[in-house]
Amino acid sequence: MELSEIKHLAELSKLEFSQTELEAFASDFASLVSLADNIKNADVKGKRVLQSIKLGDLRKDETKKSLPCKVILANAPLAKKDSFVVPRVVE
Amino acid sequence: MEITKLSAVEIRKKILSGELSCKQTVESFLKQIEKNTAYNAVLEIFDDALAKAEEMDKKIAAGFKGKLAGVPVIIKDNILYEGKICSCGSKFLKNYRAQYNATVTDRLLAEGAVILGRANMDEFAMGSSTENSAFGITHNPIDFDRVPGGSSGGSACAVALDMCPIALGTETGGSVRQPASYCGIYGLKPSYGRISRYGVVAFASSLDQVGIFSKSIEDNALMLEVLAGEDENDETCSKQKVDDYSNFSDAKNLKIGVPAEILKMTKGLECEANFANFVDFLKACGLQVVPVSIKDIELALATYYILAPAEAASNLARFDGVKYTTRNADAKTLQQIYKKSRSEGFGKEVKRRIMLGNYVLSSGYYDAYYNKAKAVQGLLIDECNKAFESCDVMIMPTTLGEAFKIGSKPSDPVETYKEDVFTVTANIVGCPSLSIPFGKGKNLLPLGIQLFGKKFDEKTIFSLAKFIEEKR
Repeated sequence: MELSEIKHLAELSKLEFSQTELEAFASDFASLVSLADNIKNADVKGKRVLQSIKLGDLRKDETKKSLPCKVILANAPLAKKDSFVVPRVVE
Repeated sequence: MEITKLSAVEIRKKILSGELSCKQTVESFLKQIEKNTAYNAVLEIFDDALAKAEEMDKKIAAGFKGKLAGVPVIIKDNILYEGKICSCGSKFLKNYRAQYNATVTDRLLAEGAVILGRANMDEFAMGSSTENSAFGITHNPIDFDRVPGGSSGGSACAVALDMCPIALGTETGGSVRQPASYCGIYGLKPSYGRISRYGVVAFASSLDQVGIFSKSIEDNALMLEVLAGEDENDETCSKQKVDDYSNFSDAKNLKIGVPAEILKMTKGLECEANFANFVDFLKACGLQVVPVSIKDIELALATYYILAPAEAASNLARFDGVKYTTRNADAKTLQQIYKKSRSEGFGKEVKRRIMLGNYVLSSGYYDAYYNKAKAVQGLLIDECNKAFESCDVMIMPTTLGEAFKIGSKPSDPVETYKEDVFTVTANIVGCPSLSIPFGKGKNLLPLGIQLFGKKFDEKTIFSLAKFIEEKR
């Protein structure tokens, strides 16, 4: 796998790597992809893709009591006035 | 009487009869944990454990007779217990404090269990050795230089070393059965949907299940009775009736299926002779052993290492430096918060799986890998259903062989992933599987055999395990 492709995956994954780490990943990835490639030999003609949850089994879409804001925010690294605080993202 | 050698069933009985107090029991187990700190099985002993034991004694004196009345339990570090740290073996969550109880925690407490502490694990349950914990390696309870298995290695080691009679772990691809096998104890992965995962930190949601470690089969069955059953907070949790698992049925007429492909896969491995011995043992017990087939079982490992990382990449996106305790101090922009917090918070294996997950989900590869793996999942379910038309329980080894030495796996991650080759199928098809201790390897370390049951038929595998225990 090209280093540029590993860099693209790191971007998708929101992860940063040093050049040495990226090179190590490239070698790992060759092995990981060859494991995953075994699936290509499977004959799945006519098989439908499985869904983990049947939508009919879901509960009704009703408002229910949920955890209070204070509890949700208790583990936030930075919170203010019932909100998570992040840097400004609009120009 | 050595209190820490007693089973949960015996402890409850003695506490209810007044022969033991819960406080005295908890004190004995806490001493045992402190005596064995070198194994690094328990990350934290909860400071209120003794106070909770005293409360339980009062409750019992007032007539309380819960199914786990006074029984000490240890939980894996990815199960929420309100007010306690739940770090998932990760630096990212080292200060994360649970704000509510997992459903399994509520059910333990409702039946009178006293939770002693939280057990070490591979970071975010990704690993087969507990070498991937940010808080140090857990050691094998029988051979200190070897791994206890993983990812629930701390829970397995704690039970094996009598730090508690029962512990909870979690499974995505074998994380209870493999350490149970390496530590010489029972380890159950229940059917998908049997136990609620509400309040259990998600790894791969279509595969994850809470599992149970014990030294006795009665304890394992009792614990499943306590934990199983529908939960309005987990829509994937089944409404199927919970059996009386502790009431074992007659197993002597069960038909045991041996998948032909498993015999092929064990060729040349350390588990080969032990598996053959187990088949002979079952026949000598008068059980009917029949050949069955799971034609595509060799694709299970690849299927698992596509589905699990794909779901992990999505589930772990929530750890973004905004909501869960860790935020890199130097990050100036939102993108930097995401990247720097995740990069410093996650360990190498977690990053590797997130990357692999995003690879199989990315455009151009989604159909070739993820969709194909979902289709193979369907294939394997059909093949298992077909095999169960001619048998009641299937058997297979739990692991390739004995526990391996700490640090002995080569740097190629796939070599470690191969450890999961016999366990991942039960997760992919959603069936229950119980690893029972059977036989020893070349260094006289324990080996395990899986009793692999029909979906929601845990009762039959418990009954078979009990039958086997009695015939030994």
